[in-house]
This record gives sequence, structure tokens and C-alpha cells, in this order.
Amino acid sequence: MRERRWIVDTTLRDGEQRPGIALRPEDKIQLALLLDDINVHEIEVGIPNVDTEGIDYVKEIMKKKKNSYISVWSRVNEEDVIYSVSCCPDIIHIGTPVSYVQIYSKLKKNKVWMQKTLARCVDIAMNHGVKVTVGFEDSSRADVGFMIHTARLLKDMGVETIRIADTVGVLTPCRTRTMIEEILEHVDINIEMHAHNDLGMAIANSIEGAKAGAKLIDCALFGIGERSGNCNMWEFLHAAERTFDFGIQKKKVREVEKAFEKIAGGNWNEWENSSSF
Amino acid sequence: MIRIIDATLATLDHCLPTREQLILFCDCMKTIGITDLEISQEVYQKLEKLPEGFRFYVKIDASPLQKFFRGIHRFICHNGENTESVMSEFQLNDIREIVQLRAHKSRDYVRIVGLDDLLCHNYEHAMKEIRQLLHRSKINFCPENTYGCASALAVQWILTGGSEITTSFAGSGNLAATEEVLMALRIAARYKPNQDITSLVKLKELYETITGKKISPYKPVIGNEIFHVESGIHVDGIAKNPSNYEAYPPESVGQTTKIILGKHSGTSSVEIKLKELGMGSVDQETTLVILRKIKKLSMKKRDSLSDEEFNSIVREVMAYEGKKMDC
Repeated sequence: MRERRWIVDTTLRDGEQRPGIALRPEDKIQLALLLDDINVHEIEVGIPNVDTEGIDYVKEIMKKKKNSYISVWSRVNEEDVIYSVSCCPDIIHIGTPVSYVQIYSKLKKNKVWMQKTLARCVDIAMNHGVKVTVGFEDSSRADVGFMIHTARLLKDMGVETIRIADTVGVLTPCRTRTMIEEILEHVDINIEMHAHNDLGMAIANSIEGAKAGAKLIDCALFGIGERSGNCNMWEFLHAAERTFDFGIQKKKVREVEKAFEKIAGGNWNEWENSSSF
Repeated sequence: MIRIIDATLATLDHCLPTREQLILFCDCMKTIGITDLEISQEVYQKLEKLPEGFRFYVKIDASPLQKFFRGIHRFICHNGENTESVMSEFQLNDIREIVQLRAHKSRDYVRIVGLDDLLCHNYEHAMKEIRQLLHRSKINFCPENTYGCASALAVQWILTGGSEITTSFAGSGNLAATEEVLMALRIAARYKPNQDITSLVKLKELYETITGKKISPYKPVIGNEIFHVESGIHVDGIAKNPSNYEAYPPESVGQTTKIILGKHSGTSSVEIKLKELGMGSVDQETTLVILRKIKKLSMKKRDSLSDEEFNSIVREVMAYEGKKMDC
């Protein structure tokens, strides 16, 4: 019997960050409801921003969806979290860098600041009765000990899921396994695997992540996303469906892809679903 | 020692390159540190004289044919006889077929092709089993890419103690992609057969000319838009320190970072673009007005903005607010 795993779709958030893609609120509503129809476990619908699509589209999706959990992405910033809470989503995903390179040279802060700020942000969201998941950005270049320590803090606060993000796409399958196993050995928490395809290994690392115990796997239609993209949903299901049950029919993903092509324009399959081009 | 055999020139018979293109391809391969090349019989004929400084491999059906191919380092034969000049090739389509290798344990040089779905199994155990069964043989692993895992499998073969793999440029012929494997081994194993891999760009252009097909702009390592960045968080991070969001310098593969403006841009992007286009700088309040207009236009056209569009937004805002730019 195949083990159960769950798909988190990030087309409307990380996927949309690919230059050349700019979805409107009505596009996001249409695509989110199609993803909801095919039984995607969680749909990350965007980063609430007053200057772009605002928050009404999230409320509209929340009203109409039937199957999926709807999540929004927020920086580890109290104001952003408060704004995200106002969307009334099922889940707020708070993303925070965990590698020293990003904490010190991007945030220009330190580890203690990061953990304290994260705790405050989680607290704000939870006080509003919203479920929180936390994204460990740049996990692949982070100290596993620090990630374990942070995961424990989050677990104590009631966070049930952390996302392991290979932000710059440098993981290999063996490193993916080692990292996930080590975290799970020390903290009883759900792991969500978020791979990038910079070395052509997003599918392989996602499979290995699932084998190592990650319950949730992040995917995007056509594998769109920053640089070489995220894990391609159809290709991932094609590769892993004999090993795991994702509760999604692969052929239905193609139907959502067609809707995406109609909205965003272009023939994305020409590029994305071919091993050579 | 790690050996990568690039088999691109064994996969292009449907669009046979000219002799000049073949020579150029070989030269580019040498500059990225790959000197083991598998070629087809047609490519061998076309080359007339084999370029120096390479080890060439040709696939043939039977040993008597060897005499027609002078200068070849090894002949690849399906289940071929065990001689010094032959690499015996075995296609394995399922992990359960690995045990069949026991019958070939006395062979000196073996290539294993296939095992597309190995990653869905305990691949480390399977790779170990292959090495144990063929412990007296030199093994070349050539994973196929039906499930998008060939590059990962090739890299894992090396990282778990293997020494030889077969790949192809851009994954031509459904194999692991040479450039992905090369970059992964540089990052994961500090394997750098050659410091300079900027000629990947030239290889890509040559490959596109030969095949008549465009490589995806997002293809790992060689896609021409993989260093385009729009997200405000990423642009700001790269401006502070490129290694925040770039695993390796774009220049190392002959490319550059390009800031794109659109729906996801932040204030840093506007400031950098103004500077890049020699348009001076504006105050913070004006930057925010410009940014809002960029986002609005980007959503209207469902696309990023060109430099011309950015230019006209800036001029429009400056004119409306009656401001001058600090140049």
C-alpha cells in the first residue's frame, strides 16, 4: 500500500515570482478554485500586498473553495503578519531565513533576533486564531543544529509544520535525506519539502524528501518559479505516484495547466515538460 | 578519479552536425574539462580525422567492425565480448533486474544504462549492490531521464563512490545533463576539472544551431533567463550580497544577473534600475510612486516591464510632481 503524502501548490506565490508572470486577482481566484477542484491539499495563493492584488481575492477564494487549505505567505515582520491575518486564510506561512549568510548579510541581524522576531510573529497570527506554518528559507546552507533549535521553539508554540526550503537549489538527494532525518530525529514536527531546480534536481530531492519523512511536498504548475523554477507538479506526480498516494489524479493537473496557459499566455509545456529543452 | 563521458554526439544523428560544428563542439567540451566523448558511427565518418586530446567511444554491434574505426579508445557493445577495447553495455529497466549483473561479473568494463526510477527505491542500496556484483569491473553508470531524476542519479553515483558516468549536453537523448552534473559536482564535491566553464554559453548556442531547437530559458545552468530576477526580496538580497540568492556567480557560466521590473518588484529594484539606466536617483516618496505605477502596469499587461516602459513611468512621475532627478 502506498504511503500518503500531500501536495502544497505554490504556483500563485513562488511560481508567480518568475519574471514575466503577473497574475491579476481574478486569475488567482480562477486558478485557485481549479486547484481546489483537483484536490490539492494546500494552495499558497500569494503574498498579501496592498499595492498589487490586495486581500479581497483571498476572501473570495476562502468563500468558494471546497477541498483545499488556503495559505498566504508573509515575511517575518509583525506588520506583514497583521496584514496577512486580515485576509482570514486557513494558514499563514511565515518565511524566515535560517542560514547564517541570509540572516547576517540579507537581514543584517543575528540568530537571537531572528528567533525572537519569529516567535512574536507566530504569536500574533496564533492569537488571531489562524494556523501557522513556518518556512526555513535557505535550509540547504543552514546549520542543522540551529534549525532543530528553532523547530523546537516553534513546536512548543504550537506550530505543527516547518517548510524546508532549498532556496538556492543546491541540495542533492543524499543531503536532503540526511537533513530531514536529522531534524525528525530531534523534533516531532511535520516537514514540508520545498525544492528548487537550479541543478535539475527538484523532482529527485522532493522524492527523497518524501521518502525521508516529509509529509508535504511543494510543487508548481510547469515547475515555474525563480531562476530554474520549483518542483514541477505533473512531473513529480508522474515520477512518484507509484510510491506515494497524493490524492490527485495526474491527468487533471494537465487541465489546470491548460487554464494557466490561457491566462498567462504562451505554451509552457513546450519548455517545462521536456527533459531536453 | 571522476570520469564523465559526454554522449551528446551519439544522440544527434537525426540532425547530423557539419565537420566544423563537430570540431567546435569537441573544443568547447575540452574547455569545460570533458575529454571523454561518445560519438555515433555517422559522426565518426563525418569527422574524417579525430581531434587530438580526447578519448572517443563508439557504439558498434559486433567486434569485427572495430577495424573500421581507427583511433577509438573504447567500443561500446550491447552485451559485448570481454576484450580490452570493449565496454559491455547492459540496459536495466527495473531495479529487480540488477541481480542479472551477476552473470557478467567477470567483465572488465561495464556500462549500465536505464534505471530511470531508481530514486523511488533505496538507490544507495541498489548502487552498492551493483558495485558488489561487479566488484572486479570498472563500471560506467548512464541513468536515463524518464522521471526527471537522471542528473541526480548520476551525481549520487559519484558521491557514493562511483567513478564513471555518462551524460549528455542539455540531457540530449534522455540522459543526465552534463552541465547540471558538472555544476552539482562543483558545488557538492568541489570537483573542478576545469575552472572555466563559461563556454557553456557557446555550447548552448552550438547545440541550438545543430538541433534547430531552442533550449528553455529556464533550463538549469544554461537557460538564458535563469539569472533574471524580479522579486523585491531577491533583488534586495542580491544587491546586499549575491550569494544570498545565487548559488554560484552567473559570470562563472558566462551569464549576468539582470534586474527585471514588474508586479513583484520592491524599492531596491527601482533604485538599482535608475542607476543602471543612468537616470540618477529620486527621493523615497517618489520611488514609492514609481513602484506603484510599475506594479499597476505589470498587472495590466500580465507581464514584466521593459526598460522603455520604466523610463516613461519615471518621466511621467517626475513631470507630474515637478521634480528633477539627482544625476
